[in-house]
Amino acid sequence: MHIKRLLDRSQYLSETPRAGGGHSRIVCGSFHNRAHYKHALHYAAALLLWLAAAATPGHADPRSDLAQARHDLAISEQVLARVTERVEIARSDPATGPEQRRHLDEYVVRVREMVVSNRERVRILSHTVDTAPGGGAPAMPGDGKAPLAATQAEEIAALETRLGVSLADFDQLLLEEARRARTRGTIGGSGFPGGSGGAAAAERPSKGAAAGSKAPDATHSGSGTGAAQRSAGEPGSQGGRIEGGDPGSAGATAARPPDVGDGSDDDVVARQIRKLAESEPDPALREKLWDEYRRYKQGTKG
Amino acid sequence: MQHGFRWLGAALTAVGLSGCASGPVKHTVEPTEAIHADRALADAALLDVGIQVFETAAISAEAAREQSTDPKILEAEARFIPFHLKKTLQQTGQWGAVRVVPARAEEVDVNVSGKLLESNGERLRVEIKIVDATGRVWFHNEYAAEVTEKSYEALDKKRDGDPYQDLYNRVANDMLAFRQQINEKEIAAIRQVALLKFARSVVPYAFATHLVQDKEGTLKVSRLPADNDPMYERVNRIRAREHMFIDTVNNYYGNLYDDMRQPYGQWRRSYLQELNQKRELERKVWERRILGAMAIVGAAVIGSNSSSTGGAVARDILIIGGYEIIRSSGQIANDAKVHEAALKELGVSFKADVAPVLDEVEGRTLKLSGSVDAQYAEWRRTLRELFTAETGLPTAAAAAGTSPEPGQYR
Repeated sequence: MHIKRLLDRSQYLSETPRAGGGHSRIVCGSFHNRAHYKHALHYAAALLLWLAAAATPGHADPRSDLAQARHDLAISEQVLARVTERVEIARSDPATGPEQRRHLDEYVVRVREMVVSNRERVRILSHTVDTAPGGGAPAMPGDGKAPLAATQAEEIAALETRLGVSLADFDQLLLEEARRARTRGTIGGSGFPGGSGGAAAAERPSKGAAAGSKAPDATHSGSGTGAAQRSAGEPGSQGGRIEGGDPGSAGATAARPPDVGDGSDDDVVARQIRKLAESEPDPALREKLWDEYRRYKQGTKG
Repeated sequence: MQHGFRWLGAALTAVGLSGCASGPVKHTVEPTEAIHADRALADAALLDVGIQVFETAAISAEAAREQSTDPKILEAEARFIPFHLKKTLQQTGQWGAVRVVPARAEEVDVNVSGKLLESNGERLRVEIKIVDATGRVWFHNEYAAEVTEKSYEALDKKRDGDPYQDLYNRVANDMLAFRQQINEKEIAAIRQVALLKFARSVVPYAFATHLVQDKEGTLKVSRLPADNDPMYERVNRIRAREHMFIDTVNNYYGNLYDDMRQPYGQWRRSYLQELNQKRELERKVWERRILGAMAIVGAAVIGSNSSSTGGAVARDILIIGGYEIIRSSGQIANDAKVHEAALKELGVSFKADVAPVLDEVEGRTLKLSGSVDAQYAEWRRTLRELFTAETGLPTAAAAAGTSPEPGQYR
């Protein structure tokens, strides 16, 4: 990528209008006379010297490299936007065959990888500039922005938090539904299933969780479908994990895991998740909320 | 020679199981035992099953009443029957998680869709189509089963039995027969495709290129996400919520199933009793009408062939007797009409039992589905922003293709 950029730059330099007018055709021109050829050789030598200087790390200016990297990133993002737009148009055209669609998708992936690569380069260079002696100032003074890497990490962390809280809210919604279901009356007197097996089994992998269904209760026979069976492991094909447990009996902090600490360093979101976990009577769901809490705390530390 | 028979058998099985190109293959169900797993299967061999709420044939309220049913009853049956199939599949121990899903769920390993064609106390007829996540149709069959009053009597000792259990067993066995034809590699591929389909439906711009469709329309994995792909990890967290949601809805369906089971069983049993009594009376009506008609014809023959007093007496007796027989058939026909009315009344009564529960379950399912829709919209937005932040993809481009798939609750 770096070499390509330099080559691109050499191309640019080779076609830069000279003071005398016209272009010096180093790359793709023809040489009309010896003077022109000599002139061109001078430029070529100068270019090679510049290339050598630019390629020598000892002489590289991290700030200018960072500026260039940002420039490259902006260009690659524009390219990606344009390419994505064109690909979308092509994809919506019924005449585009599956093979062409595949090629287009692959092309977008390659461009996207280029953007990711440029982002990474910007991040590394930003770090280099920030940590260099006397280089704490932003590489582009006056732009009024925090270093990009920090901004990006903060943005991702904030979004992760938003997602985590939203998932926890949804868990709470399902928990309330399960509670309401437990208290529901029935016309047949068979009673509503006690265990919200599915909700309780939240993030267990599906196949592993299927153990409940793959090993039928030994007491089941034929087409047994009674409410008693359901309360033991039904419904929710993941099996009832909280059967036998009295959801209402769990104390608020009865099952606080030892590794979650006292929460003194919690921020607003962590406090919210912790509060939910502490007040959750369903042991399985409570454990899940603690997992969410741990994941969130891990994210804020990272 | 034996090999020849084996191949012929395999070919016939394949035709029977995959005969889906020109509509369902019809099967009349005989007494069938479900094949249970003789040992716990390895996780790698298990496929999850999603059974959709069945479709019901469009029927007017009037036509339904003529058939002693009601659109509301059909709606309830469209949930009851899949739930009983779920229980049957679970009890075989041959499958992973089995769930009844409220809408089309293509992201499950094996999708079961069905249509309720006929259902009453005597006959159950359903159309079942099984498609796996890759889009391969396992089979598309129509199953019909008939029961007698003895079938219900046999269930008196089994509190939770179903008179049509043979039909459910047959469906379970046919599914198993197909699954046993596919190898572990194919099972793994089905599971991967199901997962990536879900990922694609939630974050299309990140997982659009992970699946490709071959010429037959079958989906294949073109590349897998990295183990540490953060977006994939997020998708898996959302998928866990998807399962939670469906399991909550299964709670509702389980509730409906429990509430329906007793009155539904009684309705079906009473239906068959009333139907049999009505048929018996109708048979008697026809017997008497024929007998009466024969007596009158006999009287006419005697009258034309005999001029004696004895002949005249015999003719008069036959005429009067025939008339009386025909008249009594009218009374029996009236009795039959009483049973016909009773059949309709049974439908009305059962509808009154089941409708409030069904309305409650459907109301709660709809409400929860609405919440899920809103949640998915929010999660999609957040994931899109995360994707943009992590990769630099412009938001406008990332937003492309994020509309929910038709027929989905999300």
